[in-house]
Amino acid sequence: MALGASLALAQPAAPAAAAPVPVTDADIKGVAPPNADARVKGDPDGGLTGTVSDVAVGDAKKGLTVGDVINQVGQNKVAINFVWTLITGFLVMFMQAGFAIVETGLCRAKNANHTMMMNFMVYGTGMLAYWLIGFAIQMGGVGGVGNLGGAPPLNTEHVMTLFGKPFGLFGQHGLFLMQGGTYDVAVMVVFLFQMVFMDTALTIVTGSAAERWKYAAFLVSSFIMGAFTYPLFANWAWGGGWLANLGTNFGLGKGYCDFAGSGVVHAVGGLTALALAMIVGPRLGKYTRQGKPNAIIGHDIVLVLTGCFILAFGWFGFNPGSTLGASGNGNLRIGSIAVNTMLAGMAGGFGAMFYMWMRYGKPDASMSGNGLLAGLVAITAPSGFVNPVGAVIIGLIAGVLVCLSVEFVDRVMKVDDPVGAISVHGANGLWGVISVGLFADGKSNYGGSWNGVTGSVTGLFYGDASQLVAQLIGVVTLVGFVFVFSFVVNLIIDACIGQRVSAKAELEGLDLPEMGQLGYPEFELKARPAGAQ
Amino acid sequence: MELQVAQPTGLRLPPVPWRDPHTVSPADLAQYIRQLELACEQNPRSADLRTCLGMAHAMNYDVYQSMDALELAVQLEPDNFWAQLKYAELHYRLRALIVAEQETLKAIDLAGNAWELSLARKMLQEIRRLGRDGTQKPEWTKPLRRPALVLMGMMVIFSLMVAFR
Repeated sequence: MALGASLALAQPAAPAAAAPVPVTDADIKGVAPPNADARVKGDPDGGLTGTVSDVAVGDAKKGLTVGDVINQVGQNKVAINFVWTLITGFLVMFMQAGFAIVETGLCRAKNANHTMMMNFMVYGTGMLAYWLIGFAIQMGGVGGVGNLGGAPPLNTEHVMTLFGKPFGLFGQHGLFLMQGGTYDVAVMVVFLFQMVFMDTALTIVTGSAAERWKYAAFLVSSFIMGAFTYPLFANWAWGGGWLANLGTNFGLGKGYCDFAGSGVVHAVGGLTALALAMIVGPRLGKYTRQGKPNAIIGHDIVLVLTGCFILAFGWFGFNPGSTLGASGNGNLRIGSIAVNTMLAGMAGGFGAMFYMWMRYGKPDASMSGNGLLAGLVAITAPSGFVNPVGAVIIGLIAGVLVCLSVEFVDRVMKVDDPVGAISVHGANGLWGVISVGLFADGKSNYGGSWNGVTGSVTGLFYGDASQLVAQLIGVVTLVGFVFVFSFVVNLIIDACIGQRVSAKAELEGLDLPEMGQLGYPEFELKARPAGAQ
Repeated sequence: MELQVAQPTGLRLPPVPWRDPHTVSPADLAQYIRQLELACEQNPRSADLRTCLGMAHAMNYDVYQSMDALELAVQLEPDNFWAQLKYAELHYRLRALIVAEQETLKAIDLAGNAWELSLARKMLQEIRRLGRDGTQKPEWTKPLRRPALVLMGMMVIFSLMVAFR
């Protein structure tokens, strides 16, 4: 018994008087259940509910034993972690609603149905792709998830040897959640949590290509991203792949560290959004012939800010949930992670608001919302490794960065991104990844190691420059692989079925030509022609 | 659908080729555009012809050719009300409302009679209504260098603060 072993080890060092007394089966049997008569009368204060009579007995002949109690403790720990992971996963799933209304509010009313439908169906499209292929590629070789009781069937990674070191490339177990013994309770929890993360990355893309993306092309592109693009990078970072092993293989900090996905989720989504926005081109009228951007207004700021609130709420699932547990292995740090998330988000909102106020004379609402999201995106990777001061600094910088980046993408790159997804998720996702290498304070302890390297994640400002190098390798991989891969894939889709709607459909609004019904049928969407009475 | 190739440049009203432009067949529209292009080649200084060409391109959903034709029309005759109004209307239909409002205000200044003035004012009213009902987005009018430097400065200051805490 592990408990017995630890007690035996502890005995020589402790004074004889304070030596712990081993618990025996006889002691356990001496614990009496509550009086049945009292229980029948009800239990208004809860004192009689959940007692020794609720502990499962392994062998009825032997009765309750120490082994039964220890098994129950273990199962309770895993159950707490299951419930925690599932509920936080449900919160992340609800973020889809937030993304949907933020994007719709920032688009024109004539495209409301199309934008909502993309956000609605990306959930199912991504889910099926991930169930079929993506999950196996991402997590098929992760090698177990201790907080969730192991998930041992996820144990086969395709590895290539380079420089005498193993480079994990993709997982091989988990197709259809059946292959390789993956019909397993822990695997199901891992799947649900990772699936909603993947879907978050997919839904980012719908924003940058909104108001001109052909619906059929969107379905194909999203399926491929959910099946291959996202899972590949996620495997390298989270599934036991080569980025995670930069620490064990090359001594670079604790390997590439991305606590909840600034890189894996947001930068992957943002860079794919950039690739797609470049391929579909700007909306008609966005730029003059001289390349000067025209501001094309959205239609509902109330939707935008409500969506931002929903996203901020969902982020409490995104970051704290990424511990995959609330019990054991340093998981009580969830409190700190939640506070970091909260602080960085609003620091980002403030950063953007003050920036716009000082520069353009008004505290722009849509950019303040984007600032909040930028802060949340940026804190996603470092949330588990930094202190509150670091979180506020990361958020503030993100809030200013998003304003600059939106302007840069719009004016200098001349890429039309109606909702600012490239800046919010792409630029700030990369900033979040880098910030781990700067601000991680070395005080976190998730079971004594991270990515197989003993110790806590520590950034440059706290004494470990090699962690920053690992993070920069992650950034280079994101830009060099994810962006290029997404660009090529979407270029092929463009050649096969076309990515962009016709000019006629775009000018009329995509609701009728693409979806067959208006988002707001009771509203008068078309302005009267000039001069008409 | 006969076009008068050489139009007098002082024409105040654009020709009315169709009572309802939405019922014109694509073939007729293409033919009309070809004829207008030919007419523009033969009368390169005619702002009215360029305006008609711009309108025809717009009906064909060819936004940037329409923009080119209308821009040229405005350049050729900066005081041509119709060229200016249609140029503004194109931006209004694209929902580039800030530019649309600026250009419509110029058209209002050029209106030569009460009818023209009422057309332009109604459009301006509509543009402003859409602007009020919509989610205003900032128009980027200032250089990026200074805020970029401020951001870099912020990063350096925060980094030093944390490094030498």
